Amino acid sequence: MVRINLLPAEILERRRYERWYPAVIIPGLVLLGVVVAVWGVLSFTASSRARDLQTIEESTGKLQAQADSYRVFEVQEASLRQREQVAAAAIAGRVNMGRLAEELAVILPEEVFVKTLTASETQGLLIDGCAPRGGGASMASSFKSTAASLVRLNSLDSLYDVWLTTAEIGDYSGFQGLDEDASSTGVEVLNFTATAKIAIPSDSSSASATAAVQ
Amino acid sequence: MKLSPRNQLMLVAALFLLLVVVAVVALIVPKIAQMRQLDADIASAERQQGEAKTLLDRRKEVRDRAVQNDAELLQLAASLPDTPELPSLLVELQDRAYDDGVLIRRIEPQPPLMPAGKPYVEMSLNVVTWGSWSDSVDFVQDLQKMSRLVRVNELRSEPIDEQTRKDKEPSLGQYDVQTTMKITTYVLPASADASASAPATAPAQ
Repeated sequence: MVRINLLPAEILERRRYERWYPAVIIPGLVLLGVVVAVWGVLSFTASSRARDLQTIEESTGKLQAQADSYRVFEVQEASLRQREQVAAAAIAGRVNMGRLAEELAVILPEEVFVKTLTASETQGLLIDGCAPRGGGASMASSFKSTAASLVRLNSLDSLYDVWLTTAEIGDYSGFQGLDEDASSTGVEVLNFTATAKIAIPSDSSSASATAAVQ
Repeated sequence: MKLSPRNQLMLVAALFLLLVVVAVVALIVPKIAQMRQLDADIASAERQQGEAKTLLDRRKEVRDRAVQNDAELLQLAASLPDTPELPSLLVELQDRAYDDGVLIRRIEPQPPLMPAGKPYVEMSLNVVTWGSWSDSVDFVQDLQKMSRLVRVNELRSEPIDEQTRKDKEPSLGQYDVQTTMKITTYVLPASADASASAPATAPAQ
Protein backbone atom coordinates (compact mmCIF):
# COMPACT_ATOMS: atom_id res chain seq x y z
CA MET A 1 0.00 0.00 0.00
CA VAL A 2 1.31 3.34 -1.00
CA ARG A 3 0.50 6.41 1.13
CA ILE A 4 0.11 9.53 -0.83
CA ASN A 5 0.28 12.86 1.07
CA LEU A 6 -1.74 15.34 -0.83
CA LEU A 7 -1.39 18.18 1.75
CA PRO A 8 0.39 21.29 0.59
CA ALA A 9 4.01 21.70 1.67
CA GLU A 10 3.33 24.78 3.80
CA ILE A 11 0.78 22.91 5.89
CA LEU A 12 3.18 20.10 6.31
CA GLU A 13 5.85 22.55 7.50
CA ARG A 14 3.39 24.21 9.96
CA ARG A 15 2.43 20.85 11.39
CA ARG A 16 6.06 19.91 11.77
CA TYR A 17 6.79 23.06 13.88
CA GLU A 18 3.52 22.78 15.79
CA ARG A 19 4.88 19.64 17.34
CA TRP A 20 7.66 21.72 18.92
CA TYR A 21 5.32 24.15 20.72
CA PRO A 22 4.91 21.98 23.83
CA ALA A 23 8.67 21.64 23.98
CA VAL A 24 8.93 25.42 24.15
CA ILE A 25 5.85 26.31 26.21
CA ILE A 26 6.17 23.65 28.94
CA PRO A 27 9.81 24.46 29.86
CA GLY A 28 8.92 28.14 29.64
CA LEU A 29 6.05 27.71 32.07
CA VAL A 30 8.21 25.54 34.33
CA LEU A 31 10.88 28.22 34.28
CA LEU A 32 8.33 30.87 35.13
CA GLY A 33 7.00 28.65 37.90
CA VAL A 34 10.49 28.22 39.30
CA VAL A 35 10.98 31.99 39.24
CA VAL A 36 7.70 32.54 41.05
CA ALA A 37 8.55 29.79 43.55
CA VAL A 38 11.94 31.35 44.25
CA TRP A 39 10.22 34.71 44.68
CA GLY A 40 7.79 33.10 47.11
CA VAL A 41 10.58 31.51 49.14
CA LEU A 42 12.51 34.77 49.18
CA SER A 43 9.39 36.66 50.23
CA PHE A 44 8.76 34.21 53.05
CA THR A 45 12.36 34.41 54.18
CA ALA A 46 12.34 38.20 53.97
CA SER A 47 9.14 38.35 55.96
CA SER A 48 10.66 36.05 58.56
CA ARG A 49 13.78 38.17 58.77
CA ALA A 50 11.72 41.33 59.03
CA ARG A 51 9.94 39.76 62.00
CA ASP A 52 13.31 38.80 63.48
CA LEU A 53 14.50 42.37 62.99
CA GLN A 54 11.40 43.73 64.67
CA THR A 55 11.87 41.30 67.57
CA ILE A 56 15.49 42.34 67.97
CA GLU A 57 14.59 46.03 67.82
CA GLU A 58 11.85 45.58 70.39
CA SER A 59 14.24 43.65 72.63
CA THR A 60 16.87 46.34 72.18
CA GLY A 61 14.31 48.99 73.04
CA LYS A 62 13.37 47.15 76.24
CA LEU A 63 17.01 46.64 77.19
CA GLN A 64 17.74 50.30 76.49
CA ALA A 65 14.74 51.42 78.51
CA GLN A 66 15.82 49.22 81.41
CA ALA A 67 19.38 50.51 81.11
CA ASP A 68 18.08 54.08 81.08
CA SER A 69 16.14 53.42 84.26
CA TYR A 70 19.42 52.38 85.93
CA ARG A 71 21.28 55.44 84.69
CA VAL A 72 20.73 57.21 87.98
CA PHE A 73 23.00 54.67 89.69
CA GLU A 74 25.73 55.34 87.17
CA VAL A 75 25.40 59.07 87.71
CA GLN A 76 25.60 58.45 91.46
CA GLU A 77 28.77 56.39 91.05
CA ALA A 78 30.32 59.00 88.77
CA SER A 79 29.61 61.61 91.42
CA LEU A 80 31.24 59.37 94.02
CA ARG A 81 34.33 58.84 91.88
CA GLN A 82 34.59 62.58 91.25
CA ARG A 83 34.43 63.31 94.97
CA GLU A 84 36.98 60.57 95.65
CA GLN A 85 39.37 62.09 93.13
CA VAL A 86 38.93 65.57 94.57
CA ALA A 87 39.35 64.23 98.11
CA ALA A 88 42.48 62.32 97.12
CA ALA A 89 43.90 65.45 95.48
CA ALA A 90 43.02 67.52 98.56
CA ILE A 91 44.88 65.33 101.01
CA ALA A 92 47.75 64.37 98.72
CA GLY A 93 50.94 64.70 100.72
CA ARG A 94 49.10 65.49 103.96
CA VAL A 95 51.39 65.38 106.98
CA ASN A 96 49.91 63.87 110.11
CA MET A 97 50.93 66.67 112.45
CA GLY A 98 49.28 65.05 115.44
CA ARG A 99 51.28 61.87 115.04
CA LEU A 100 54.46 63.88 114.49
CA ALA A 101 53.86 65.85 117.69
CA GLU A 102 53.17 62.66 119.59
CA GLU A 103 56.30 61.00 118.23
CA LEU A 104 58.35 64.02 119.27
CA ALA A 105 56.93 63.84 122.78
CA VAL A 106 57.80 60.15 122.95
CA ILE A 107 61.32 60.20 121.57
CA LEU A 108 62.78 63.35 123.12
CA PRO A 109 64.86 62.66 126.23
CA GLU A 110 62.97 62.97 129.48
CA GLU A 111 65.12 65.79 130.77
CA VAL A 112 64.55 67.94 127.68
CA PHE A 113 61.79 70.51 127.89
CA VAL A 114 60.39 71.86 124.65
CA LYS A 115 59.45 75.51 124.99
CA THR A 116 58.25 76.11 121.50
CA LEU A 117 57.45 73.62 118.79
CA THR A 118 56.70 74.85 115.30
CA ALA A 119 55.81 72.45 112.51
CA SER A 120 54.83 73.46 109.03
CA GLU A 121 54.30 71.42 105.88
CA THR A 122 56.36 73.93 103.95
CA GLN A 123 58.77 75.36 106.53
CA GLY A 124 59.56 72.15 108.37
CA LEU A 125 60.10 71.65 112.07
CA LEU A 126 61.62 74.03 114.57
CA ILE A 127 62.15 73.05 118.17
CA ASP A 128 63.16 75.53 120.82
CA GLY A 129 64.05 73.38 123.80
CA CYS A 130 65.86 73.42 127.08
CA ALA A 131 67.98 70.90 128.90
CA PRO A 132 69.17 71.14 132.48
CA ARG A 133 72.72 72.25 132.83
CA GLY A 134 75.01 69.66 134.23
CA GLY A 135 78.41 68.28 133.75
CA GLY A 136 80.54 65.26 134.01
CA ALA A 137 79.69 61.98 132.42
CA SER A 138 75.94 62.24 132.77
CA MET A 139 74.14 61.89 129.45
CA ALA A 140 71.05 63.53 130.89
CA SER A 141 72.22 67.11 130.83
CA SER A 142 73.43 69.96 128.70
CA PHE A 143 74.94 69.27 125.32
CA LYS A 144 74.71 65.51 125.71
CA SER A 145 70.96 65.85 126.05
CA THR A 146 70.96 68.07 123.01
CA ALA A 147 72.97 65.50 121.08
CA ALA A 148 70.63 62.75 122.16
CA SER A 149 67.71 64.86 121.03
CA LEU A 150 69.24 65.31 117.58
CA VAL A 151 69.93 61.60 117.23
CA ARG A 152 66.40 60.73 118.19
CA LEU A 153 64.89 63.35 115.91
CA ASN A 154 66.92 61.91 113.07
CA SER A 155 65.58 58.46 113.81
CA LEU A 156 62.05 59.52 112.91
CA ASP A 157 60.95 58.54 109.40
CA SER A 158 58.89 61.69 109.15
CA LEU A 159 61.91 63.98 109.62
CA TYR A 160 65.13 64.49 107.72
CA ASP A 161 67.92 67.05 107.52
CA VAL A 162 67.91 67.46 111.31
CA TRP A 163 70.17 70.34 112.31
CA LEU A 164 71.16 72.16 115.47
CA THR A 165 70.93 75.91 114.99
CA THR A 166 72.07 77.12 118.40
CA ALA A 167 72.82 75.70 121.82
CA GLU A 168 73.68 78.16 124.55
CA ILE A 169 73.87 78.20 128.31
CA GLY A 170 72.00 81.05 129.90
CA ASP A 171 70.16 82.24 132.91
CA TYR A 172 66.56 81.30 132.35
CA SER A 173 64.98 82.31 135.57
CA GLY A 174 61.64 82.67 133.81
CA PHE A 175 61.91 79.19 132.42
CA GLN A 176 58.50 77.55 132.45
CA GLY A 177 59.99 74.18 133.28
CA LEU A 178 60.90 75.26 136.77
CA ASP A 179 58.48 74.70 139.57
CA GLU A 180 56.75 77.90 140.56
CA ASP A 181 57.76 77.55 144.16
CA ALA A 182 61.38 76.76 143.38
CA SER A 183 63.94 79.49 143.62
CA SER A 184 64.73 80.41 140.05
CA THR A 185 67.42 82.92 140.73
CA GLY A 186 70.60 82.07 138.98
CA VAL A 187 69.28 78.87 137.44
CA GLU A 188 71.09 78.01 134.29
CA VAL A 189 69.80 75.77 131.54
CA LEU A 190 70.97 74.90 128.09
CA ASN A 191 68.71 76.44 125.50
CA PHE A 192 68.91 74.90 122.06
CA THR A 193 67.18 75.32 118.75
CA ALA A 194 66.95 72.47 116.26
CA THR A 195 65.42 72.38 112.82
CA ALA A 196 64.36 69.55 110.53
CA LYS A 197 62.51 69.07 107.30
CA ILE A 198 59.26 67.15 107.34
CA ALA A 199 58.97 64.27 104.90
CA ILE A 200 55.89 64.64 102.76
CA PRO A 201 54.12 61.27 102.61
CA SER A 202 53.51 59.69 99.25
CA ASP A 203 50.03 59.94 97.76
CA SER A 204 49.38 56.26 98.40
CA SER A 205 50.02 56.59 102.10
CA SER A 206 47.82 59.68 102.22
CA ALA A 207 45.09 57.83 100.41
CA SER A 208 45.31 54.93 102.81
CA ALA A 209 45.19 57.41 105.67
CA THR A 210 41.99 58.83 104.21
CA ALA A 211 40.54 55.38 103.86
CA ALA A 212 41.44 54.70 107.46
CA VAL A 213 39.76 57.90 108.57
CA GLN A 214 36.66 57.10 106.59
CA MET B 1 3.45 40.45 7.84
CA LYS B 2 3.04 36.78 7.92
CA LEU B 3 5.60 34.83 9.91
CA SER B 4 6.72 31.43 8.96
CA PRO B 5 5.87 28.61 11.42
CA ARG B 6 9.52 28.39 12.31
CA ASN B 7 9.71 32.08 13.14
CA GLN B 8 6.44 31.87 15.05
CA LEU B 9 7.96 29.13 17.23
CA MET B 10 11.08 31.17 17.77
CA LEU B 11 8.95 34.21 18.68
CA VAL B 12 7.03 32.21 21.27
CA ALA B 13 10.30 30.93 22.73
CA ALA B 14 11.71 34.45 22.79
CA LEU B 15 8.55 35.73 24.51
CA PHE B 16 8.85 33.10 27.21
CA LEU B 17 12.49 33.89 27.66
CA LEU B 18 11.68 37.58 27.94
CA LEU B 19 8.94 36.81 30.42
CA VAL B 20 11.36 34.85 32.57
CA VAL B 21 13.94 37.60 32.42
CA VAL B 22 11.34 40.23 33.32
CA ALA B 23 10.09 38.08 36.20
CA VAL B 24 13.62 37.61 37.52
CA VAL B 25 14.36 41.33 37.23
CA ALA B 26 11.00 42.39 38.67
CA LEU B 27 10.63 39.81 41.43
CA ILE B 28 13.87 38.07 42.34
CA VAL B 29 16.40 40.88 42.15
CA PRO B 30 14.45 43.29 44.42
CA LYS B 31 13.89 40.47 46.92
CA ILE B 32 17.59 39.67 46.99
CA ALA B 33 18.34 43.36 47.56
CA GLN B 34 15.69 43.44 50.28
CA MET B 35 17.23 40.35 51.88
CA ARG B 36 20.66 41.92 51.85
CA GLN B 37 19.29 45.09 53.41
CA LEU B 38 17.47 43.02 56.05
CA ASP B 39 20.65 41.09 56.81
CA ALA B 40 22.52 44.34 57.26
CA ASP B 41 19.72 45.75 59.43
CA ILE B 42 19.66 42.58 61.55
CA ALA B 43 23.42 42.71 62.00
CA SER B 44 23.17 46.37 63.02
CA ALA B 45 20.23 45.66 65.34
CA GLU B 46 22.09 42.73 66.92
CA ARG B 47 25.09 44.97 67.47
CA GLN B 48 22.87 47.59 69.10
CA GLN B 49 21.22 44.87 71.16
CA GLY B 50 24.65 43.66 72.30
CA GLU B 51 25.64 47.20 73.23
CA ALA B 52 22.37 47.72 75.09
CA LYS B 53 22.87 44.43 76.91
CA THR B 54 26.43 45.35 77.82
CA LEU B 55 25.23 48.74 79.04
CA LEU B 56 22.47 47.12 81.03
CA ASP B 57 24.84 44.56 82.57
CA ARG B 58 27.23 47.33 83.52
CA ARG B 59 24.48 49.43 85.04
CA LYS B 60 23.10 46.39 86.88
CA GLU B 61 26.52 45.92 88.45
CA VAL B 62 26.50 49.59 89.42
CA ARG B 63 22.96 49.18 90.79
CA ASP B 64 24.14 46.24 92.90
CA ARG B 65 26.77 48.55 94.41
CA ALA B 66 24.26 51.37 94.84
CA VAL B 67 23.77 50.91 98.57
CA GLN B 68 27.49 50.88 99.21
CA ASN B 69 28.04 53.79 96.81
CA ASP B 70 25.26 55.73 98.47
CA ALA B 71 26.81 55.25 101.88
CA GLU B 72 30.25 56.24 100.59
CA LEU B 73 28.78 59.23 98.81
CA LEU B 74 27.05 60.39 101.98
CA GLN B 75 30.29 59.99 103.89
CA LEU B 76 32.27 61.81 101.22
CA ALA B 77 29.63 64.51 101.01
CA ALA B 78 30.22 65.07 104.71
CA SER B 79 34.01 65.01 104.22
CA LEU B 80 33.92 67.17 101.15
CA PRO B 81 30.70 69.18 101.17
CA ASP B 82 29.36 71.33 98.37
CA THR B 83 29.35 74.42 100.56
CA PRO B 84 31.75 75.57 103.31
CA GLU B 85 29.25 74.53 106.01
CA LEU B 86 31.08 76.54 108.62
CA PRO B 87 28.49 76.08 111.39
CA SER B 88 28.76 72.29 111.37
CA LEU B 89 32.55 72.58 111.26
CA LEU B 90 32.52 74.85 114.32
CA VAL B 91 30.22 72.46 116.17
CA GLU B 92 32.46 69.50 115.41
CA LEU B 93 35.63 71.42 116.36
CA GLN B 94 34.05 72.40 119.65
CA ASP B 95 32.95 68.82 120.33
CA ARG B 96 36.44 67.47 119.59
CA ALA B 97 38.04 70.09 121.80
CA TYR B 98 35.64 69.29 124.62
CA ASP B 99 36.29 65.55 124.27
CA ASP B 100 40.05 66.07 124.28
CA GLY B 101 40.02 68.52 127.17
CA VAL B 102 41.42 71.54 125.37
CA LEU B 103 40.00 75.00 125.29
CA ILE B 104 39.51 76.68 121.93
CA ARG B 105 40.45 80.32 122.45
CA ARG B 106 40.11 81.57 118.91
CA ILE B 107 38.91 80.46 115.49
CA GLU B 108 39.57 82.65 112.50
CA PRO B 109 38.18 81.29 109.23
CA GLN B 110 39.61 82.65 106.01
CA PRO B 111 37.44 83.25 102.96
CA PRO B 112 37.25 80.18 100.70
CA LEU B 113 39.41 80.27 97.63
CA MET B 114 40.13 77.94 94.77
CA PRO B 115 43.86 77.40 94.23
CA ALA B 116 44.96 77.59 90.60
CA GLY B 117 44.98 74.20 88.95
CA LYS B 118 43.40 72.43 91.90
CA PRO B 119 40.07 70.61 91.73
CA TYR B 120 38.86 71.85 95.12
CA VAL B 121 38.09 74.98 97.08
CA GLU B 122 40.16 75.54 100.19
CA MET B 123 38.92 77.09 103.39
CA SER B 124 41.59 77.77 105.98
CA LEU B 125 41.05 78.41 109.67
CA ASN B 126 43.46 79.64 112.26
CA VAL B 127 42.68 77.88 115.52
CA VAL B 128 44.18 78.66 118.92
CA THR B 129 43.75 76.24 121.80
CA TRP B 130 44.88 76.13 125.41
CA GLY B 131 45.46 72.89 127.21
CA SER B 132 48.00 70.35 128.30
CA TRP B 133 50.52 69.12 125.78
CA SER B 134 49.06 65.63 125.63
CA ASP B 135 45.51 66.93 125.26
CA SER B 136 46.64 69.31 122.55
CA VAL B 137 48.34 66.47 120.67
CA ASP B 138 45.17 64.41 120.98
CA PHE B 139 43.19 67.30 119.58
CA VAL B 140 45.53 67.69 116.61
CA GLN B 141 45.32 63.97 115.93
CA ASP B 142 41.55 64.00 116.21
CA LEU B 143 41.33 66.81 113.67
CA GLN B 144 42.23 64.29 110.99
CA LYS B 145 39.52 61.95 112.23
CA MET B 146 36.79 64.53 111.80
CA SER B 147 33.97 63.91 109.37
CA ARG B 148 35.34 66.82 107.31
CA LEU B 149 38.59 66.43 105.40
CA VAL B 150 41.05 68.43 107.46
CA ARG B 151 44.67 69.15 106.83
CA VAL B 152 46.84 70.67 109.54
CA ASN B 153 49.22 72.88 107.60
CA GLU B 154 51.00 74.53 110.48
CA LEU B 155 51.29 73.89 114.17
CA ARG B 156 52.92 75.99 116.88
CA SER B 157 52.94 75.07 120.51
CA GLU B 158 54.34 77.41 123.13
CA PRO B 159 53.97 78.29 126.79
CA ILE B 160 51.08 80.50 127.81
CA ASP B 161 52.10 83.79 129.24
CA GLU B 162 51.81 83.34 132.98
CA GLN B 163 49.93 86.54 133.68
CA THR B 164 47.52 85.97 130.80
CA ARG B 165 46.86 82.45 132.01
CA LYS B 166 46.19 83.58 135.54
CA ASP B 167 43.92 86.40 134.37
CA LYS B 168 41.91 84.50 131.81
CA GLU B 169 42.06 80.81 132.65
CA PRO B 170 43.29 80.35 136.21
CA SER B 171 42.19 76.73 136.10
CA LEU B 172 44.96 75.90 133.63
CA GLY B 173 48.17 74.41 134.93
CA GLN B 174 51.67 75.80 134.76
CA TYR B 175 52.73 73.47 131.98
CA ASP B 176 49.72 73.95 129.77
CA VAL B 177 50.48 75.25 126.32
CA GLN B 178 48.96 77.44 123.70
CA THR B 179 48.70 75.65 120.36
CA THR B 180 48.18 77.68 117.23
CA MET B 181 47.16 75.77 114.14
CA LYS B 182 46.45 76.64 110.58
CA ILE B 183 44.07 74.00 109.29
CA THR B 184 42.48 73.63 105.89
CA THR B 185 39.16 72.07 104.97
CA TYR B 186 37.92 71.48 101.47
CA VAL B 187 34.79 72.14 99.47
CA LEU B 188 33.73 70.57 96.20
CA PRO B 189 34.19 73.16 93.45
CA ALA B 190 30.86 72.32 91.77
CA SER B 191 29.39 74.80 94.22
CA ALA B 192 32.45 76.99 94.28
CA ASP B 193 30.08 79.89 93.88
CA ALA B 194 29.66 79.49 97.64
CA SER B 195 33.06 81.13 97.83
CA ALA B 196 31.69 84.05 95.88
CA SER B 197 28.86 84.42 98.34
CA ALA B 198 31.21 84.18 101.30
CA PRO B 199 31.89 87.45 103.05
CA ALA B 200 34.98 89.31 101.94
CA THR B 201 36.17 89.50 105.51
CA ALA B 202 36.01 86.80 108.10
CA PRO B 203 32.71 86.95 109.95
CA ALA B 204 32.67 87.60 113.67
CA GLN B 205 32.78 84.41 115.69
